[in-house]
Amino acid sequence: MIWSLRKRTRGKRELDAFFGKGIHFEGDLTFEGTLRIDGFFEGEIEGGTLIVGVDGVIHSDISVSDVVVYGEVRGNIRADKRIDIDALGKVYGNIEAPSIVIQDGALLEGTCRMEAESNTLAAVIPIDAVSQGEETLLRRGADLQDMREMTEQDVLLARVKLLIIMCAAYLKDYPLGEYRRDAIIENANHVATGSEDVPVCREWIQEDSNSTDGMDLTYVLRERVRLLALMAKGFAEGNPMGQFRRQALEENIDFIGGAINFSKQAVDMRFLRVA
Amino acid sequence: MENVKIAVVDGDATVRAFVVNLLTYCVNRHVLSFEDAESAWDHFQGHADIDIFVLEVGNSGGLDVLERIKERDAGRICVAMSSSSEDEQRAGKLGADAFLAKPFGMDDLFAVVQSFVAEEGKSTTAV
Repeated sequence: MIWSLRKRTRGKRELDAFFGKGIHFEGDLTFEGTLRIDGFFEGEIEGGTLIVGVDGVIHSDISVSDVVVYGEVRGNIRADKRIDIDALGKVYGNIEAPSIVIQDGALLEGTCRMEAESNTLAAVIPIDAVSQGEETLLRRGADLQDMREMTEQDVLLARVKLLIIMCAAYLKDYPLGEYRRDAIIENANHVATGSEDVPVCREWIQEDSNSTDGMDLTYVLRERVRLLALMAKGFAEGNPMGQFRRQALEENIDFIGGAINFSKQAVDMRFLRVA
Repeated sequence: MENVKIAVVDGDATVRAFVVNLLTYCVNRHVLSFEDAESAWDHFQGHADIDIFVLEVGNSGGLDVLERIKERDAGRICVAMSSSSEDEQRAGKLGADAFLAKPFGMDDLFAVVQSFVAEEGKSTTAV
């Protein structure tokens, strides 16, 4: 089915068509002007300015002039002018436009490509990049209101997460070069020393973490982190890792990750496949 | 970016050691480490072999050195770090390519590597 909507009036963000909540639409859609979708849409969309409302769910590739995403899109988005993903927005697909704004809190699972209006590739930017005129400044780290100097505890927690990623990469058989081995050993030594501080470990634990059959979770976490450091040093130094040791390493990663609410799957580490 | 050379500048030894450690692991290469921006600048003037600067700009001289680096070669990548939003704005105006707002985590540094080193499936070359 192909639907075509014609623009009736001109004006920014003035709605020309509206698919309300509860409407389920399947087919290809071409429109002019501004269209807002708050229902479910499956098919291909081409046209002017598209607004995906908070309740909107789109399963399709989108090719429009501008798009603002407050809801969910599963498909690739290409815009001639601008893509704006609101803090509530979720996009599972690749996005491409000359101007891209991804609000803090938004979800993007896919690549993000900014292309100059001359169709010359300008830059490939990750989440959180903010367009500033013609320049693009990648911004990462704390939100504006949370900016402060880093404490030793901040660094130690970041090191524990890095150690988890180092171990996860090893279990994926990612290559270990000379410098990587030394870096793993160095990080493991820092973590093993730092995690002896029990109050610090207590701060890491998420409130909803599972208890450990009567044992103090802080104590268990500290010992598991120290064990993880030992395991990491072991494989970095070339000690043999049989099937059961690999399983134990995997299990330890999962426990620590769960306790501190850190998922290794949330970190894109594919670039580590080459050393 | 093949055979990338990275320099990390931060007066805080704990932060500097962490950033150097993480980047060394990511790129599998030696990463230069400097306690202050002027020392990094002196090295750069003598060798001009640094592709990416990860530079604390909240302390004395950081913004000044950032400006000098960009004036000398706008193509050198400068990642500014600070706990101050004012530094963020200044660094952006001086041409910084990225800003790391403190406190940042390992995933933030991974994002920097992905953006400036491991672009589009390429990665670093082992030594």
